[in-house]
Amino acid sequence: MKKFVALMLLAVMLATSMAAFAEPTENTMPIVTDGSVKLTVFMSMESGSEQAMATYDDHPAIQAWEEITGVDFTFIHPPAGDDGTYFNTLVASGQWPDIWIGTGFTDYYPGGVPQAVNDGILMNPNELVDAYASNYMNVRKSWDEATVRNFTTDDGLYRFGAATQVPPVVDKQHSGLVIRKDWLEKWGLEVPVTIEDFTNVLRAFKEHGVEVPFAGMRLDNWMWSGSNMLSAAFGVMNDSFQLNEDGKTVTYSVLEPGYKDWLNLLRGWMAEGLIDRDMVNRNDSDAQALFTSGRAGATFAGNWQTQQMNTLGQVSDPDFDLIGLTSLKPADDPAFINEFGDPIYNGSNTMWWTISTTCKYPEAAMRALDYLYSYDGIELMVFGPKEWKGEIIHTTDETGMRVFSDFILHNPNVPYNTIRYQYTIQNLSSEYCADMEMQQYSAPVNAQCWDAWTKDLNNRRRVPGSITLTSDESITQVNAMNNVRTFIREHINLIVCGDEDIANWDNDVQYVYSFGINDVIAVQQAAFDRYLAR
Amino acid sequence: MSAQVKYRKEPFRLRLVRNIRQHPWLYIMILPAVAYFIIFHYLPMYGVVISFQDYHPVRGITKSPWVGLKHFNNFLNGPFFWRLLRNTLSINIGLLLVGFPLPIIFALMLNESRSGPFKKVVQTITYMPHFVSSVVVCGLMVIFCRGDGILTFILSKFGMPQSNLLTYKQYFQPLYIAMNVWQELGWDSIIYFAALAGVDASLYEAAYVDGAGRWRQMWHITLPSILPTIVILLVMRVGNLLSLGWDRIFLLYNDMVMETADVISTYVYRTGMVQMQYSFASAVGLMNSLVNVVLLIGANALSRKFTDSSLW
Repeated sequence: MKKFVALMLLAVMLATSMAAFAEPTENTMPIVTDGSVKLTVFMSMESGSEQAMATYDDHPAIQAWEEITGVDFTFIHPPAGDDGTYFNTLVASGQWPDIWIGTGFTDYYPGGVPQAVNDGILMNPNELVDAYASNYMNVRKSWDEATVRNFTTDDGLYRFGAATQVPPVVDKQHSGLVIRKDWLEKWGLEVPVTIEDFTNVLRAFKEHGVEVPFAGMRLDNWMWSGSNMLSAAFGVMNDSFQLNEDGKTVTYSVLEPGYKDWLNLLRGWMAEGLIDRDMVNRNDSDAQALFTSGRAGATFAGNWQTQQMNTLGQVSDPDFDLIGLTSLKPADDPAFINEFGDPIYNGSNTMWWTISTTCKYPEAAMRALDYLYSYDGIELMVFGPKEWKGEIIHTTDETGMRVFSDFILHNPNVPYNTIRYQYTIQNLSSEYCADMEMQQYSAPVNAQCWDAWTKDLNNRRRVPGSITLTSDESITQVNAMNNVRTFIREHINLIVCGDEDIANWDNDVQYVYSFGINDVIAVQQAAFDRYLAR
Repeated sequence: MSAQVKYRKEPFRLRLVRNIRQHPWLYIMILPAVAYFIIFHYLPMYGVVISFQDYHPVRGITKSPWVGLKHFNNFLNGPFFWRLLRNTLSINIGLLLVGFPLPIIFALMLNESRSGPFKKVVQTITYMPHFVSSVVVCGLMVIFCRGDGILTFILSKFGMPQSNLLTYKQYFQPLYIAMNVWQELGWDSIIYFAALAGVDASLYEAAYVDGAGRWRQMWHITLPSILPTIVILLVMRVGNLLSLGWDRIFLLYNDMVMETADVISTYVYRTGMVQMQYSFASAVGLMNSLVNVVLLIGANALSRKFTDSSLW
């Protein structure tokens, strides 16, 4: 059986690699002129757009896209903050939209997009790309081998729709620890380097009357594991699969001996009042609100938020100034490097643009999506239309760089981070456009955070996000991890809050084994091995 | 014997036809309700077969493989079964013990008030919370129970810790029950007000003439008059002991209080809806419903035996 599967895989890979030689003819617009093609699109709305419109049908960039392609799009949006329930129900209903935009299949469908293709929900993207997506193929041809691997699944499918990343964002760590620089200076404290320094700084904050020295968030919030800047000193990620020192063997961080020490650190902080019990149901934006309102001295943040956090902070305290910290080191290891970081590399985006088998116009759908891989298409989704209803949206400056107009940048009524999403759509941007990124990260605080976070950090021991599980593997993993996560999250929190004795931890770990964690580790290992063999 | 044969009822079908001829409009009026129950409650029932399958949406019911009682076994032998059962029962019993008598007492008390406007104002205020969405009520609750919340502040004066109350497993159930009683007290009492309005006033006059005070009147006239209502509602409550809406618990709980807060419906939501394990979710749901039916029939039988009122 295994041999048969391997042969089949080989055949598929051969077929797809051969198909790659087929050249799509150049994709010219419009696709149709008589309005005969109507397509439904499933995707979530960005919160900035939600404030101004009920559906993307009314979005300027979409209307411009419709005009250029001649295709009539109708949108289906899940409710804001959907946990996948809406997506699952839509898949189960059999009444599929023509186009799916997002990470739904990766996040919720056992086996992800490849399995959905096998199950007959989605069309094979390769066949459509090879036939109709000339712009995408041009981009793909410009990549080196490693990048091509990142944009291909185990069974050779093109990850069509995953946004390509360009300098300046590539190879940078995008989230990490931030701390009040003005407070460090005011109270004569050094920028913390080790875990011990950091604890002492938090203690000093506490002595100076800071309510919650470190604004923590739910322990399963992605901010903790987005950089692991605290837990890495103990050789573990925060509740996740990770690689051993050899960089080849998968393990589950919770089972590692260092995990107990990591919990003990947090438990000590809780006992001293350096973190608070409210963090158990606090999300990252609540934590950041605590930080910017001056009630906390440090927290986690993303670099796309740091500028705005400074602006917000200065409302209540004109001296407010944050800096990013470098991963905290164990006291005895000055050469320490955080190997659990998540620097962005080209291909780390998990977005997919896929087409249902029930779609009546697959060619038009693929060509319309492929348009978004052209220079004009990227510009349309990243910067919006040039002009809309008499307002200039973006222009090109004297250096040839595209910039937003004052209407977007300094709108008196709507903040920049809201209004830009009323003219642009990130989930339909096929590239993190360099013009845009350089402007978005132009403030000194952005440069400082990038430097500090990226220093002494790599992702050598992180399981890559683009590994793919088969349907059976997914089911094994979901069944076991349901119980593991319910159990372990409860006990991690109880121990950190001091409601359970830390001596119980070894016992808790034994329970995790009884839920079948070894089977899941085997699944992850197999998927990782396939990734290496791509 | 022969007399019985002579007066034997006509067959049901004939009686029905005659009855329809006699009251055609009544039957036409009930038609939409019957259609609603058939379409939305009986027709979808064929779907329970997926609890015996490894259902996959794309393959559908006809092509999904049959797995017998696998999902029932998985749930019953799962690591959390006893905890889920215990929490579901204890929260429901708590709601029953506190939430069931309070509306009755409240209705009786307010019934004794002589001031019409006062009665109306109190009634309106108490049933207003019922119309507030669960999301809002739970959102308020989460904010009030935070370390700096008002409820935490007040309760800390009575010896409770001054930090997030919803993170202590011993307080979750009392807080949940209190919130529910607060929200539903006024609404649940409406039906008793209706029953109280129907008590024959001449009974009170007769009792008054016989020298009965207000307590005696309440004990011997008011309570017996609304007893059938109380019993019917109680039977229905008992029939729902194993079901508990997931939404409010889902909005309130967190990892710290799973020990006392995780109930069957929240577990089913997490595994079934979020993780797409529809077969498992329906198996648990089916099991839940069967137990509820047994409870309902049992409670009804007991009620018929000990009081004169019952659902059927």
